[in-house]
Amino acid sequence: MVKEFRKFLVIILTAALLLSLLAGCGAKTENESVQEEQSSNEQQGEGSASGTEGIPSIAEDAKNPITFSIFVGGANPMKGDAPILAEMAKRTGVSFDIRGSGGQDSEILSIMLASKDYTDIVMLPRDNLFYRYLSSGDLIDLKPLLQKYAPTVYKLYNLPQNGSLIDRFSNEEGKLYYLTQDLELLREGEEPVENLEASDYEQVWLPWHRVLYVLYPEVEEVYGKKITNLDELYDALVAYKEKYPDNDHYAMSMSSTMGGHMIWAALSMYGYKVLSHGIYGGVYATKDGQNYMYVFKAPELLEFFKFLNKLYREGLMDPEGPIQTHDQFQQKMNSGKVFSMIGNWDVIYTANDSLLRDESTKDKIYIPQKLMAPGVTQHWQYNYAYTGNNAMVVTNKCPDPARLFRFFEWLYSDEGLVLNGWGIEGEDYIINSEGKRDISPEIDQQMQADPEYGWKRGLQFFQGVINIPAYTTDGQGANNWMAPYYKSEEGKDPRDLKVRQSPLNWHNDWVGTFYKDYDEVDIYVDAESPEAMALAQAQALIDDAVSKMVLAESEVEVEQIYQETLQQMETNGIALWEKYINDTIASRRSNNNQ
Amino acid sequence: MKKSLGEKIFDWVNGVLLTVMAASMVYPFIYVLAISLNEAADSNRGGIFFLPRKFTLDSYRIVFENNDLVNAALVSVGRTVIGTVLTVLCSAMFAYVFTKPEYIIYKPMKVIFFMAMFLGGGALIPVYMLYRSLGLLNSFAVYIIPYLVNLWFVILFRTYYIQLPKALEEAALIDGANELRIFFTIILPLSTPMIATIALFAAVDQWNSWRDTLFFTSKESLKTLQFVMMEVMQKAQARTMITRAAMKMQRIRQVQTADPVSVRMAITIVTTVPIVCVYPFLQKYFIKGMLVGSMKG
Amino acid sequence: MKLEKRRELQSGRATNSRIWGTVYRQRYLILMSVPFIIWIFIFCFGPMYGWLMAFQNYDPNKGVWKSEWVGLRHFISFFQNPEALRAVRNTVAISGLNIIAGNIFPLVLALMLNEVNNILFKRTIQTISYLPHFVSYVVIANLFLTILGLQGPVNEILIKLGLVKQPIKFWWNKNTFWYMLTGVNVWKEVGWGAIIYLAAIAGVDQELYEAATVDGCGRFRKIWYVTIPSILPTVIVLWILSLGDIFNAGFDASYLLGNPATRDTSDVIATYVYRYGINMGMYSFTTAVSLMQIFIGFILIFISNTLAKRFTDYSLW
Repeated sequence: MVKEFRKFLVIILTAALLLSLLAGCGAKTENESVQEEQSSNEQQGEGSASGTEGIPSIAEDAKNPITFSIFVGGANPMKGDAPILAEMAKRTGVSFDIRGSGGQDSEILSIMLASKDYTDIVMLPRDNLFYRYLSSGDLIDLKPLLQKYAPTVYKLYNLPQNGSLIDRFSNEEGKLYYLTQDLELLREGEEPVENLEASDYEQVWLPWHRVLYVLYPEVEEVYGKKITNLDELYDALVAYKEKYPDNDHYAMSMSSTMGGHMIWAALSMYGYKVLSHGIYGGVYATKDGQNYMYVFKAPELLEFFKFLNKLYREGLMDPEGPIQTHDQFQQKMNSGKVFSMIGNWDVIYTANDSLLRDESTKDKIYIPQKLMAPGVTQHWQYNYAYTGNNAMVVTNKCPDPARLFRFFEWLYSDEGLVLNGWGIEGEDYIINSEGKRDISPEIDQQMQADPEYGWKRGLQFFQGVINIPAYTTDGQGANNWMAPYYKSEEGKDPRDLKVRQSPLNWHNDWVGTFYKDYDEVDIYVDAESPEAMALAQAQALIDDAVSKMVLAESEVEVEQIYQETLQQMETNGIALWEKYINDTIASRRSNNNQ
Repeated sequence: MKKSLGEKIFDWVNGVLLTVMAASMVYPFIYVLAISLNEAADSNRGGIFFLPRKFTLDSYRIVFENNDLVNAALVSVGRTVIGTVLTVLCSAMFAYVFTKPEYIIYKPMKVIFFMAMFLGGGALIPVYMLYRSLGLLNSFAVYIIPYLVNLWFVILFRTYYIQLPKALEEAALIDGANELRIFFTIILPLSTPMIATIALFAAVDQWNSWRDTLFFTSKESLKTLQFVMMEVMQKAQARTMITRAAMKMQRIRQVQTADPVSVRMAITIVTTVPIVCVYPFLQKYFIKGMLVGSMKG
Repeated sequence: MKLEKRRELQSGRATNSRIWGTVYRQRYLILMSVPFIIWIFIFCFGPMYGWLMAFQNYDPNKGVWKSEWVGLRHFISFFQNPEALRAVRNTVAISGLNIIAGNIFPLVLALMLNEVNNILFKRTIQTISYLPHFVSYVVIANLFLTILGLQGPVNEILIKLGLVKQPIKFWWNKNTFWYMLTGVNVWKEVGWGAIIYLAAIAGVDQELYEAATVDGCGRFRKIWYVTIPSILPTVIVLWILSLGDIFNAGFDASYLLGNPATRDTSDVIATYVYRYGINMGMYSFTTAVSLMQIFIGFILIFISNTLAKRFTDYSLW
């Protein structure tokens, strides 16, 4: 039998090798010939761009319709023929063939990269394949295009108050291969849309936060005042449990995938600045502003885990918390059965929305509580030097990049901004009695009744492509969330108004906890590098470790699990990744000083 | 023939066990149906097990409002029917050749077959490149041609063929019929249960697939039903890219923040009911004894 | 084949004309197979060079031909990680159980259904039995997690009846996880799996049953002496094929039903790779792991096929 097997194996392997070599050679020439085709295209393209005499106006351009294919990935994106986008196409001649990825972003991006079958424009998550695209040689330098055809865009991107994004993201040769998105850019003299120091903020205007949330009005009922540290939290939980001892009410709950978020919130409490690199990336923290460590290594965490474990053993934590799925947890939150949670904002926004929609819970709302450990005088909530999760690149497949940037320049004009951010007058917005753009109660009704309203209309599509100015040149907001209606009594969340009048009013607590430091953010590691592997391994350990520690039978066991996990992360080389972070930040800071 | 007591008890126990089992298996559908008929926002609070709490046909409305639906349904039916017929035919025919060890290239063919079975196919990128060089991308053919020969089906067919009585085949050969004719006039009719089974498997595969639509096509007109449903489902989960803009739109509630699990359930129902209905039609081919008896003489 | 060989030896060397004669004689077989062989070459072997990624640091920019070669590095690093080894152990255990249960239960169900005389009842039950196959694992997992959850109906009833004081932690116990998982899998797939056995049963020669009746066999004897032996080839083939999947314990089941408390026994290769590979584009690593899974599966199939050939008349090839 062994002989037969061996013979079999030999035949198979030899044949396989031969065949694959054959096939592979075929594929190789494929790639090469495609590349040759493309470089000749590129040369042609550049020729035509520099060959134009003057720059056509938008009206002239409109006579030559063109369609750009753009990959935006993610779930079902807007359709290129949505009413607002269609109106834009009418006025500029530019329409977009918008491609999604059905949720398989990396696969499709990889295919494009390997086959060079790009769309004209690609929205790349700034992680993962980002570096690979940048080093592919298939991207167009955007700087000359901006300077020639979209000077307003260039100027606003590069203003210091917006982060000097052009300079920041140009490479060593001074070329700029991507533009980021999702920020509201300011012109000189304009005020930030989100004035983080303003005290009339509603929860949803604050930048991302991971923090302790408690249910109002229950917190007022059982505790009566703000919760500011772990001891007070404990007392409040006990009080809640006394009032609602049945199984259908949970003093605190969690899910099996929340570990990372809980750690973030905890470290903010201990006075750390916490940051993350990329949307899938690792989280790092610093206490002294100089030395950054992987989150799990912060020594104060042990105390925090012991606290959670104590809650669990005393029945204050949902017994299924550490092992339940995110959906199960979200469902409990949505029905107001959970008094508190420590974690991420998106769970809360979903829950608050759900609570409002049901009669029995429409007065309830989850509110943030600022915790500070004893001895900590400054709580850092978030570094809001955020430059966007995605970047726009233009590939050498684009037939007319100059035209694309003329379009962007038009988008930045008042006409373009209003169409993108507000929609079509009379349908998506009205002009109110003071002559300002506004939302009428009827339109608001429509939007509430159909949560896909914006999607169907094609509203604010370009927020997902490039940065957009915050205001039109007349000082009004460029997007409909700035409508005066939302500042009126009608447009506000009634629960929030109630909270403001109670001792639990948190709105002033967060002043001074948001800060901006560009050096600390936007650090990306090349996929499959040793640093990335070490990070991936550490990330894979964190959530499980947190759940296990919460479930532990004793404090001793908590410590044991913590040490073991830490040890494993070290063995896997997390120090490599930490070094990379520290080196990057240090070199940026020294570059700034030069 | 009179049944013994033992046999009667057996029948009764058998029946009870089967009923209990079936009851437990019907339940998931009841569960899914109940949620799909419940209001979206309310279904996110959980707790629905048998009957909807707040009845509404809204979720189905969202599903059917889709303009692409009719075309997608046609594409799906098309690929299922054509794909199934061709796959079954090709696999069955190929399997027949595998029952003839005297075939001149039998041994090498066998080796090739098993090599393909284990190492064939492959990662996404090479497959994409292959289809591209063959011109299959963005065409209806990409739903059919890459599935023509299903190696598992070939093995199953072959195993079935070996069991068939050789007498008929040999008689036909002596009468001077060629293998092709034998295949169509004798083998196929004799293998109806297997054909029905494989057809079912092939049909389900074709009906459920959406990844090929995703990676290998970009034309709207080639979207399959399953793919469109997946898009609807993802759209309803509008937590696409977590952007600041999305946050603000949540504030003025232009974005559905709560995942409407009810829509997901409605999609499950819409996409599985058709294929579930296929099998009862095929069941008649599973009647035992229909075949050999009629072939005698 | 042996006949041909003997003929050759008898007539001396095989001559060209003999070969062409055979080709002409078998021209229909050639027609019925060569197109498909070509198909195999194109669609199965064509993309095969992708496996080379397992030995490289694949970079989509460079393609398979220019990416850096790293030999067995990925395989080595896989086995050096204790979590990976744990995942392998779990995979084998879970697959093993699934293979055994997944072949026995559908067979039993097919036999049971076959014995039902009322056609309407039989068809109804059969149709219902494969419904769970079509419901996505996400829904099924959710259902089981809820029903057997700490506050689910099962625990409620047990407590009400006084059978237990504390709710049973069904999904928390890592020692029983493998059996719970297999249970859910069986429940989901038994109806669908029975279909192929029913088809095989339907193909059994009726004469055999008649002969058995003449010999005085009752129902059970008929099952044992006629039905089972007749469908044995199908059973064996399915067994052997399913062994090839021993390293493929499904991702969905482990991912959805597992949780931190059971991670030690619920983590399988697929979930392990998922956790480490999320969005990091680790092509080479995942390809290497797949290759390894396939290779081991292949060895198992080879062994079991040889055993089957030795001890029974039936085998895969």
